Amino acid sequence: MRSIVPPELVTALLDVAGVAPDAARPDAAATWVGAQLRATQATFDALAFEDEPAGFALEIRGQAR
Amino acid sequence: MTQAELLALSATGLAAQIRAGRVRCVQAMEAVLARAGEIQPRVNGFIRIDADRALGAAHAADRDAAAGRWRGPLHGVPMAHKDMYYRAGEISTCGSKILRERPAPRTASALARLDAAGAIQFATLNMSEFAFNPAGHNWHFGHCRNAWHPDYITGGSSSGSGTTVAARANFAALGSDTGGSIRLPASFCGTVGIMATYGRVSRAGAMPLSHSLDRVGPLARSVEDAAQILAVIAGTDPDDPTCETAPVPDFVAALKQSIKGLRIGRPTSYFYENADAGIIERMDASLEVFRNLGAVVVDVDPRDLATASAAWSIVAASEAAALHSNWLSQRPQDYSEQLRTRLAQGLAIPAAAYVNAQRLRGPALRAFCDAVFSKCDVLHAPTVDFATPTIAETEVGDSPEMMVVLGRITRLTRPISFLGLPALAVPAGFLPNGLPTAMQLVGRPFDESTLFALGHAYQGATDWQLRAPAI
Repeated sequence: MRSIVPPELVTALLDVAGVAPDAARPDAAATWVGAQLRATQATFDALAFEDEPAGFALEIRGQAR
Repeated sequence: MTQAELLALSATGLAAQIRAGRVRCVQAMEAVLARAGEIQPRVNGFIRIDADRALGAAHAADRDAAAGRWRGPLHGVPMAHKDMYYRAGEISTCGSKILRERPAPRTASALARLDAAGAIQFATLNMSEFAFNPAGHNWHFGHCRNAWHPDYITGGSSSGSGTTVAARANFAALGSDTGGSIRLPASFCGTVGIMATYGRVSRAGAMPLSHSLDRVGPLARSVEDAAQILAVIAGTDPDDPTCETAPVPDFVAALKQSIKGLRIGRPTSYFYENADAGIIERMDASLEVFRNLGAVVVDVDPRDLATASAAWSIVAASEAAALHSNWLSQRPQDYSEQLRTRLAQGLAIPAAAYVNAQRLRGPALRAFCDAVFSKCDVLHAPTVDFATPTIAETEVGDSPEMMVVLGRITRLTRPISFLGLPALAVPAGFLPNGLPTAMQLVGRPFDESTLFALGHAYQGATDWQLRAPAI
């Protein structure tokens, strides 16, 4: 399966961060990042509009017995 | 008491012997220093041993004891910790070349609390470089080796914590857990490890890897030791904004809670999908022990943990990449190839994906609690689903299969880290290759007490924790 993240994008992002492209394997990085995005996209799409990161702190206290 | 008998004591057992006047603090320190020197060539678990200072502190502890000045429940107990807990003015290498010469800016709150409880730190321990390798490898200080067989991995990133405690060269150790780094070495080395609820223990003065996932906790010889040490280090800390202000329960008293009627959940999805037969056999046997102790085993479906696992990867990689971005650009040659590659790939994760992964944590936790804790008090699962691999099998460098090999090691621990839940790794026997493995008991948020009660009851009915490697 072709990665949804082009290796050229990884190289460009590394360049913006001042990191030499040879610090990573852009092909492998693109494949790995793409796999994480594929694995989560449907769930992320199902999040409620109002869900926010700070909700975790409330939930972990709320779920305590 | 012989030196071997002394070294076989648990941390709480040693503390009791010291308080009863049957063992001197110096005697304990001399024994552990001798043992550390003996095993170091074989397991490479230590980074620095401070013998003179530790012996001086042990003499002072003996003088205090003679005068009736007891510092706390760990008075005189020698401990060594993962080399990422800062002590002001001293070097904490964090397993790296980059921090090999930087004095730490402060003392970690967890160390300060252990000091106040009377524990005496005698060494710092090997660990994965910047705590980001679950096999426990370190290309700067040399790989740590498993005390049960030196060809095998210790698990990481708290590699030295696992192998030195298992080898009876350390009474207990702080580790840290971002995606499995306490539970994995506990499982591979046959020690207990507790990852408390996110917010239970201050991270102040501990090296960060991934701020919203990092947790501080001990690896120990017994559940009782883990409960005692967590009791010492847990609780609110003004230096850590994520630390909870709620009172800490009496974890030591919780050890005596009855487990009769407690419901233990056996997962029907995710945890056993790829499990080796040997792992299944050990897990089933441990469930039978719990049944015999009066607990009730029920099936539960924890549902979508694969997504939680991938979301963990997004969060951990993004936060680690952000923390290391300056050094990645300025000192790339000072990282191992594998870590540099892993950190750099985190720079390619879209910001929206990171924020969405964080947005998911609340709903994912709610869904997990609804699915699991509506049916049971504790989830019981393997910590890893395969037999301990050798160092050679996991020596993948930055090759294309790197993420597959590393990802398999943390597959069962990452989702629990993402959800912020407490988990206790307890040795559950030995696999056909002769190496130990552990169950992980996962509880509701802030319910470490039930985990300790179950783990302690299990250890009362088994003797895995009393077995020591013949190293």
